[in-house]
Amino acid sequence: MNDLFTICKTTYTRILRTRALYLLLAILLLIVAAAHLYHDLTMGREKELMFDTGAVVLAVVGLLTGLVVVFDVARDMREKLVVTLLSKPLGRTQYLLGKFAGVIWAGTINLAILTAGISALLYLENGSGRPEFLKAAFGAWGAMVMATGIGVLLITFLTEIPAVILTLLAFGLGHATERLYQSQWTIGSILFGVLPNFALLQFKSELSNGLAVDWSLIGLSVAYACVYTVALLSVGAILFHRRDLA
Amino acid sequence: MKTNLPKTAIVVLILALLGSVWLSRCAARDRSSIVQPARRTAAGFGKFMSQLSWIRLTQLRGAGSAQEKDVAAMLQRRFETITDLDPLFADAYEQGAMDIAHAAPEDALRLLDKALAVEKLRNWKIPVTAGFIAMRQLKSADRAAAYLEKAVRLPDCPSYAHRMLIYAKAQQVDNEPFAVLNLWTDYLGARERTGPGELGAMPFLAGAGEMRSGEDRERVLARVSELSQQVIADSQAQLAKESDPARKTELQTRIEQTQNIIGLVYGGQHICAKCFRKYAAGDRFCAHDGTEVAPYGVCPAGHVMHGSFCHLCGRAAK
Amino acid sequence: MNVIETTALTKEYLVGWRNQTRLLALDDLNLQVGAGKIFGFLGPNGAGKSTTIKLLLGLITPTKGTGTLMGISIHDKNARERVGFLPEDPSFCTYLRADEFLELCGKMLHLERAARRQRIDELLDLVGLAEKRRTKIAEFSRGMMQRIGLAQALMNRPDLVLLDEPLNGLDPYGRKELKTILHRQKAEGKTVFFSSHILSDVQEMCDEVGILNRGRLIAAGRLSDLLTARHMALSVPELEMDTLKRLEPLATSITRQQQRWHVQLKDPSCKDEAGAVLRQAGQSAIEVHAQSETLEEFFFRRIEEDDHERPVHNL
Repeated sequence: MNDLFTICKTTYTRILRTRALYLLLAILLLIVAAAHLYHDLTMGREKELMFDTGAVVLAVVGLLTGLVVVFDVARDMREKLVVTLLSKPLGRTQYLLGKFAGVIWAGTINLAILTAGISALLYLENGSGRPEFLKAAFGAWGAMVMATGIGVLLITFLTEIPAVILTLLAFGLGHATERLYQSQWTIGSILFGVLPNFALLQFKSELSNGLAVDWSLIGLSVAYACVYTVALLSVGAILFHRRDLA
Repeated sequence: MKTNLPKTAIVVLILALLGSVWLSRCAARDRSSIVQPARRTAAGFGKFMSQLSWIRLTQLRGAGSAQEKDVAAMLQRRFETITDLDPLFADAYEQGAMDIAHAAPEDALRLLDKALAVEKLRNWKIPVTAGFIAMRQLKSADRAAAYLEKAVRLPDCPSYAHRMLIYAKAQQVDNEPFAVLNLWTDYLGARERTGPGELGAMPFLAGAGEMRSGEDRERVLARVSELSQQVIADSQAQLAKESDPARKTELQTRIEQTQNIIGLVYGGQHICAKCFRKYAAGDRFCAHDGTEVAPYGVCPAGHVMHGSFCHLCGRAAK
Repeated sequence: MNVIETTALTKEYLVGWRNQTRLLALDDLNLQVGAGKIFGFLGPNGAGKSTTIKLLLGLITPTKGTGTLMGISIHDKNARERVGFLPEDPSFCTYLRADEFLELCGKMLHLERAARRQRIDELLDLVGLAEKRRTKIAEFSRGMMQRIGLAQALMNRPDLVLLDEPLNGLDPYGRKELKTILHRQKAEGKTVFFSSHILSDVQEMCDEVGILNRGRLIAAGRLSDLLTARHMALSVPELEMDTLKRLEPLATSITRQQQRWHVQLKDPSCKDEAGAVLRQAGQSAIEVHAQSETLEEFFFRRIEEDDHERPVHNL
């Protein structure tokens, strides 16, 4: 467990030492704030635009976090750092889980910063808080966990570019998987459970349009994302266990 | 060469897959009652893309006259795209339909029908707009009434939608005064109707008597008075010329029912006997038609009283 | 107990279009390395030296065979608890400082904090990077990278140090320092196993060597056992003409140097015959000078013999 935490902390440290990250967060907050200027162009819907932009920013950051783990592990392999690390008494699964945990940790902090910033902007724009944005943030966090799990799985047996492309594809197509849902047990409904389903974590439209989304549904969806990610990491661990690393 | 397979990982994988299948089905089932799936998949960015399309469309809406068919067709396509991306975008349906209604009213109604099919979208503006377009562009009272029936059931529906429905239903009965009078009376939430129920119960009766403003109620009362006067005048004129006893009885009954309605609507208030409009305390003549009326609320000297005793001469009311 | 022991260790890759071509990177390796030695692992490029080290460290999976490090299977990560490894052309966490990187290695080797901190100071002094402890590794030169690599390999005072081409990229001073460090390891009873293709260094440092050619171990053992006498010369104080004539068929040259006659024999096997001729001539003070072949000569000879036995099939 200590080894896992060591890798996690090292990964997290590396990400947070990237200066470009803070610039990116600042730019994203500026983009959200800029929605305030769109009163005429949106015909009075700048408040909705700000909410939607904020939700999209969170989703994009979650997706980018999934790609970060692909680039990070790929770089370790390319630069043979993984050789140095795994020549120590460090298990491959611990390395993989440590990488995942470190990226998720950094991603969670990024999402928290953005959520706080965007919530403040929404408060200034609306004159009152919009607590439903927190629900969108939780949904985005769940999507981030799942996207990162997919990235980890893919990089265990693919090179960098195919892993990135497939992660993006999985994210995109994962929003269409909900169409497979059927109340009866059919092949389609089994596929619905086995394939990644990002649509279950999307509440942006409903929250933006003022529909009530219960916290229990948010919790259920996030729980699904976490359990599904455990499955992804298990497959990744099995594949990584057999991979020649050098 | 066989290496040790991580058996724990396989067990965890199986359990996690089973768990995720179960959780996803639970979430999808609960979600179906809350979430409106989009018609177009946009990798989760449909709402945002609909906003961007809306911004772009805002610029295009001024590019040409929507009364031209090709401009209307272009706008319609874009509104369809926006609403496919975000089925809950109420303004897009409403404003889109209004934009293209002149050039393509059927397409406008199709757009609004798409909105009405969205269960989660309970916005009164949609059916009201549809009713308006059906009435004005297509001159179809039947279709207008059908839409407005849906509108008045929705929360926060304003009183003018109720009145639009009455106008539509009035057109369905060719604006026959007695029938229209009954419509207005029902709208006021009259407790008792003695007329024939050929128009059916008005579903919005409960609570419909609660007008949004005093102006609404006064307007409706004026209309009731006007119709009552017309019904009685027409009935009396026909009665004078009619020879058939059955018909005479029918007309007489109609007059009595109308007077009954007036009594129910105004319930003990002071009204002019001719035009059935209210008159104020101290009035000697009706302000609408000049008919002499019995004054009330005055002292023996004829001063309007503000309380139990006259403030000018100190005497009690007549 | 052998520090390194392999039994029929084999690694085969599937390469090419649809993985239809088999590439035998290591073929049936049976190797034993005892404790307290410096073992040099030699071979041409692509012989399988790095493959062997990676198999021992569990970085790649063997196709067949087994191996142990200090009695623990190579598939068990605990086998690496007492092992230090310096890879070829090392690259480390460039975003960390030198001390932070060694701190990371120390944590992964489960060293306690106080011991870790002390060891970091010692190692940075040892490899000459004490002044660069707070410098990011990204700013290191190649030689400095090699030094920090050596430091991390020695972090836990390992019983076995595996080095893959450790002398690459080092200047003469660096090479000398490295050799000193490795000799010190041996003096402390540790085992050093390193691969190289700089034969002169291997001959200078190693007790035992193994030679790999196209995946197969073609020679292994003590240097003194492997390197046979190549040239032999006999020297006597005096030599008469008829004795000289009798020696001519057995010698490549007969010369007089430093008041002695030197008879360079054609072959070391002629030693007995030549000695008998000299003893018959009444010579008693016969000095024998044997000249062994160099490691380089042995290496090329064995490679040539192996290529002859196992011809290379070019695709």
